[in-house]
Amino acid sequence: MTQSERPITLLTESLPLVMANSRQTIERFPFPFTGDQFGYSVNVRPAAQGSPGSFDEFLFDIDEHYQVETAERERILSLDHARRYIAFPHMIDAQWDFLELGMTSLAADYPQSFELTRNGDQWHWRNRLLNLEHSFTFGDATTLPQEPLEYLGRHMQGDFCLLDQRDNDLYLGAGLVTFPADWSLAFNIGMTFEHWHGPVPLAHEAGIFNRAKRFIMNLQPGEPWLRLNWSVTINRRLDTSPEISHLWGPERALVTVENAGNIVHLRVEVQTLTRLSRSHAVLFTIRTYLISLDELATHPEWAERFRRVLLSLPDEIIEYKGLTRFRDTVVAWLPESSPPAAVAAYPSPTH
Amino acid sequence: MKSKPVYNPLTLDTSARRHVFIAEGQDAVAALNDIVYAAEQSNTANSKVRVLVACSKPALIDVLQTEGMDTAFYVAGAERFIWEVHRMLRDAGVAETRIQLALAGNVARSVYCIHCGTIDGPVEDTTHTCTRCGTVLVVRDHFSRYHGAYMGVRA
Amino acid sequence: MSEKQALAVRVVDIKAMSPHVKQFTLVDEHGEALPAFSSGSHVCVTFGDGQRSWRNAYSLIGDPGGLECYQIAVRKGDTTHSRGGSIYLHEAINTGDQLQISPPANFFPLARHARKHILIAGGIGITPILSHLAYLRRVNASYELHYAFRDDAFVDAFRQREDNHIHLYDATAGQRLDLTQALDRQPLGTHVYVCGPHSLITATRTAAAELGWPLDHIHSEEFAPLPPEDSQPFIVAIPSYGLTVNVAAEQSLLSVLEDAGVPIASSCRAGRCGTCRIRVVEGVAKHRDQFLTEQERATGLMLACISRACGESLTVELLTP
Repeated sequence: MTQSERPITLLTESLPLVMANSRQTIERFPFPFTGDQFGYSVNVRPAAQGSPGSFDEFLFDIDEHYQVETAERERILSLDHARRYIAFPHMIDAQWDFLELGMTSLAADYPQSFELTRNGDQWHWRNRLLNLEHSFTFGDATTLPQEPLEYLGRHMQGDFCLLDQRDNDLYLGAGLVTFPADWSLAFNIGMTFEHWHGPVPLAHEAGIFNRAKRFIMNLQPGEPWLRLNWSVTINRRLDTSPEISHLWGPERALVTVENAGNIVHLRVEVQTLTRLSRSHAVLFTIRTYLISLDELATHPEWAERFRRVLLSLPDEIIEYKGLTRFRDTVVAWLPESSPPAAVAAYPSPTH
Repeated sequence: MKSKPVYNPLTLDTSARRHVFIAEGQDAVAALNDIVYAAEQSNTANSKVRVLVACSKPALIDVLQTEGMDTAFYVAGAERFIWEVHRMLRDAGVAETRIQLALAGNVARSVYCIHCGTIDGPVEDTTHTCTRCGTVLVVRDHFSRYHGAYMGVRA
Repeated sequence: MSEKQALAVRVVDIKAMSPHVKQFTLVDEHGEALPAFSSGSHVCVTFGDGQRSWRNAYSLIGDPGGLECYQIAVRKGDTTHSRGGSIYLHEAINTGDQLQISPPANFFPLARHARKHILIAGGIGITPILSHLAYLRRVNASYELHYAFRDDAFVDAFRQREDNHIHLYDATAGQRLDLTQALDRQPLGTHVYVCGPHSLITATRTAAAELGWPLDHIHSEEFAPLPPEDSQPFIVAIPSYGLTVNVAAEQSLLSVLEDAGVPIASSCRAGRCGTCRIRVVEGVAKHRDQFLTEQERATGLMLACISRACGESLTVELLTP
């Protein structure tokens, strides 16, 4: 479906969101560090195997920030649609695969919030959280107000990319990306896997992306996989795209020991990889969680470990993750460790 | 930087039977002379050579209708040109392994302003002021073949 | 370890396509829709008679668009499947019987961006090709099909429907598939898919190379037996750690090394990501992974999480970082 779009232009406003984490959200936060040392690895484990109530109980996680995130996504798409939603025409089959997987999963995992009724290809979708419902014909894009990826993506938390496996490589073929950690869908569209990871230091030489690519290319349907990625964001901002880095970048210079607890956030991406059934494309999802240092410090062992990890970082990684201006301030703010305690991160993959 | 293109010297693709050379202009023709000669001299049975200079897009599309699975392509010109042709060739069904690229003529870079989407060029420095939004950009080595340009981000 | 959910299916129809080939139609045991799949997919069928058990892979032959049932075709006495499983399916399975199958997997997908698809099938290799054909017809894509056969199992359907993109070669009538003719003068963006005996696949690649094709446009599926699931115990020595330990049949090499305190990294623990790779110094590895290339295996690499020993022992070393 085409949509009249504003011309691409320099954006001038993007405010942090009002969304503190409740106690429950803090408890289920995907704390990513299993050790004190920073290290690159492919680090995948099966997705949707978490205990009840955990962030990875279900393939697609809905939490208390659903309304704020979906509203923020809608705002960003209204201002900058051409750069935040892009799909090559040949990815349309993969888009329907995504819509089927998303709707069936949400309806099964959150039945109080989502409902899907299917009569052959006549589908009816009901989203009680957004108070929306829609009847459409599966496979017929004229019966949806937007293309399938955008349509359902607007009902979900997280960014969604469709990878096209062809000619012995993986291509970024489509994406709905409103909350990136400093990467651009508009610039990276059409790139191969190793190229769009080009800017990541050290990992290429260690063979990480070659192995990760081979792993992804061997994926088969029915087995989603999960990995975690982390960085740091100043203020509660989900949209840290390079497109608006002129708006959020200067905030990195504002961190002090007095305000760090409030404005510095550990940003964790829960990434999943799923082979789609009909199109044989790969769905790559990025679900972002933010936690302020104050909130993190309610778990002293998390704060202590984070401090040790920050101290272990090679210079190239500090630079790449954008921590240069405030790393030392954050280290000064975080508590030093008492005698090492057992740190409960997400379970290590020994099942 | 993995995405930054590396242009290897052109070599005749001996697995192919036909060779099509696409030059942006006269500078590029000079860059292709040696390899065109090698193609003409090669004693592959049925070997054929075709040279296109300053070919318009519609004309190139017509040429592609007549080429087949046994053709190799060699493209020379400025960076943005060669990647634009690369995209046309890939869209027409040419295998990645059947396309070789050479820089010729102006070797300065095109820059994609990440903030307003404008592509400026040729840019010789590693900093550049976007002609549309005025942002002072650092020109990174991260390159997009789709845009034929390097990423420029606020300094 | 990720375990894909097995599907319980029931046989609702068995059709003799020829004296040696039977087509089985399967539906979900609980009447649910079966998972969608892409053309070229196969399922692994697990079955047994109480004493012997088999696990054989069969291509899904139907149109991926229809999900009420799956259809597979079994050739009796098929030499690619060892130990009599196909004979059992022919002789002992009846309508109404239940089978366990894996969800579909696909190592032979279409190149969807191709401008033209050439399908080449030899014998029972027609099975994945049939689902490609059904899909390509449904989306009105450009295709040619060349089917060389001795057993005429699926030929009737082709003969009944007029389609000058279908070319049949009956070996019993002396008709021969000329691969050079089939591949010559094809437009840019043509991809080839060949399934059948090893000799057909090799001949296709040779003909394509002689015609000047890039070989990454030739896709093939060769039916090979699945590795047996039973594992044997073996002994592993890791000299640099001064260790020699037993790996029991139900243990993985990875878990044994971990328990012995060897600092070996791991991630997917399913033979897919390469993280737990180690080097074999003595002995022969029994590879069960889906990650290492032939060259990598030839240099002695193996994946500890899933691969084992061919003989009674292995000597291994960790890779230096």
